[in-house]
Amino acid sequence: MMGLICNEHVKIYRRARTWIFFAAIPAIAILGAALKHHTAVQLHDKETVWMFMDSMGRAVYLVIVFASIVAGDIVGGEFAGGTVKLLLIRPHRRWKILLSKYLSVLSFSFTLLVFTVFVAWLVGGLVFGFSGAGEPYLLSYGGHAVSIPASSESVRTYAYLAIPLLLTSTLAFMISTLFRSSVVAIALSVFLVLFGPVITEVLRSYAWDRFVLFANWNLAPYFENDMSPLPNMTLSFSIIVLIVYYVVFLAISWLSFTKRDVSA
Amino acid sequence: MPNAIVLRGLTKRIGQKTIVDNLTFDIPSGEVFGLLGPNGAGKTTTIRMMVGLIRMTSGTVEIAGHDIVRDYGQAIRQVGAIVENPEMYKYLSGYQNLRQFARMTPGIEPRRIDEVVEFVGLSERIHDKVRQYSLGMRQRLGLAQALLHRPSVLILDEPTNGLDPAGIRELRDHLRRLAREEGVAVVVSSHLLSEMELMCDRVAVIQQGRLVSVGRIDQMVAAGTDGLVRLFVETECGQEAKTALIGRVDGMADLAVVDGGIEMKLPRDVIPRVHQLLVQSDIPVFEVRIVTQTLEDRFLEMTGGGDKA
Repeated sequence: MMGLICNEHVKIYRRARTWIFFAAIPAIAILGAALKHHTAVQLHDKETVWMFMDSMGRAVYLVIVFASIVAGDIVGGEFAGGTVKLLLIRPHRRWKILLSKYLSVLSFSFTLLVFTVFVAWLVGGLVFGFSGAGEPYLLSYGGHAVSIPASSESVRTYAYLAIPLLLTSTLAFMISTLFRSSVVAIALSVFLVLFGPVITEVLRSYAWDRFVLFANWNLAPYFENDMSPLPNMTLSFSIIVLIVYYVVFLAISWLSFTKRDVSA
Repeated sequence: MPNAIVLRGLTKRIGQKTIVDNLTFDIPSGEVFGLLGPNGAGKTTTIRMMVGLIRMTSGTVEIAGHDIVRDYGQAIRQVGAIVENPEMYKYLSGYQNLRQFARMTPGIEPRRIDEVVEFVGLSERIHDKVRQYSLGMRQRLGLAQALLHRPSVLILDEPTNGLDPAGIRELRDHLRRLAREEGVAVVVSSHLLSEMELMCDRVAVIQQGRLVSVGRIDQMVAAGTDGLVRLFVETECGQEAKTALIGRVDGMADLAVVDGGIEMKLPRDVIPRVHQLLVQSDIPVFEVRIVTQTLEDRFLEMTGGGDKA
């Protein structure tokens, strides 16, 4: 099993595109910090590293796109390239091969997320100074105004985004296994990430709108301003919906990979 | 020699279509065995079932005594294979590709990788990216990958694809050596008869998923399926010759007057009797010869020729 996971990591990190992803994050952070610095100077505003990290949370959508590309390619690419045949005729059960791929996707996704947090902190700190971690940040929770440290709010921002990251990676992985095509998997999951909010909006007129994945995967409103993304939703409802989606995605991948004939 | 591969009633149906129909044959260790048939005959599907890539509808495959479905791990451990094209990770070097496969089977030491690389003659280019390899080089890398874990069964789908004549000859020598010296059972598939004839000890001829014939190619070609040979007698007196022979030769069939003489089918050992009768009847004979079919004729006859695209 360790050999299989090692193999998948080699296949991810020996590709040039992976290093482009890792280079894109600091590039965006530096660009973003330069712009922030410029406006802060002009408006005589005070920008801290923690405020900067909050705004860099948007870069996580890029992480989600990159993770979808890797997840969408990891099974589909083997079928497209025909290498799946050589992969499967080894003394390993198919589910083990699939699991090693899934774990490697998660490892890549979260490595990139942690890398993004680190880069945002480093670039922000170098530009705006590393102080201000304890400054109060106000949010509304349980009907009260609550004050938390600014640094803790920054970490929360990324923690909320870890959920869409996990689910999109898993979705892309499922599409990749089901359609055996990296192109379909990448295109479809990137489309869903970009248009998720629009889809949620369009489906709002239906009674089942709150069962839509994209309506549930941002848990921030529950913790930050005592709101639910849509009416009639609670935190536990959203968590259950997310778990159901997650389990269904994995079950479809597993069935599709272990039961079907391979004629690529 | 024990049987390395045992196929029993192997069948694959997809919907209404029967792709592979009730194949039964054995392949002993140390033999180079050919799967011969036109494109679309079901060779690749058979190979895919033998390595567990697709499920059979019915029937069994045993590799070194292990059932490929029930005992997959034990069975596949014995198998090295290339299925269809030797597709590798193009963004990795040949060596990195082999490391991938080495990690998937326990007990392959780095020394072994160098060994197989040398065996297939790829030492000079092994650190280049596979993207830059020719088809022939990828075939060599595919063979290296298949041999890495010292399999007792080697299955190669169209292995001569993309090889030049020298490469084909080299591959032939490799396969013979593996079979003779290491007792490996080698299965190769091809639609080219001439290639199989040089490479294989025995072949199974497959047509539309069915086993047409299995055996040594030379025997298949020399004797028809009925065990008779065709004899041609060159003479100007065809009608008289026919009269002289008719009903007097045991096992003779299809006696007919043809352009320039007569032709018949008969067991080989009664040919002297034909000579004797013709001489006794004073028939002037210029030549008596066995008509050998060419390999291609025989192959086309067995596989129903016209079906070939």
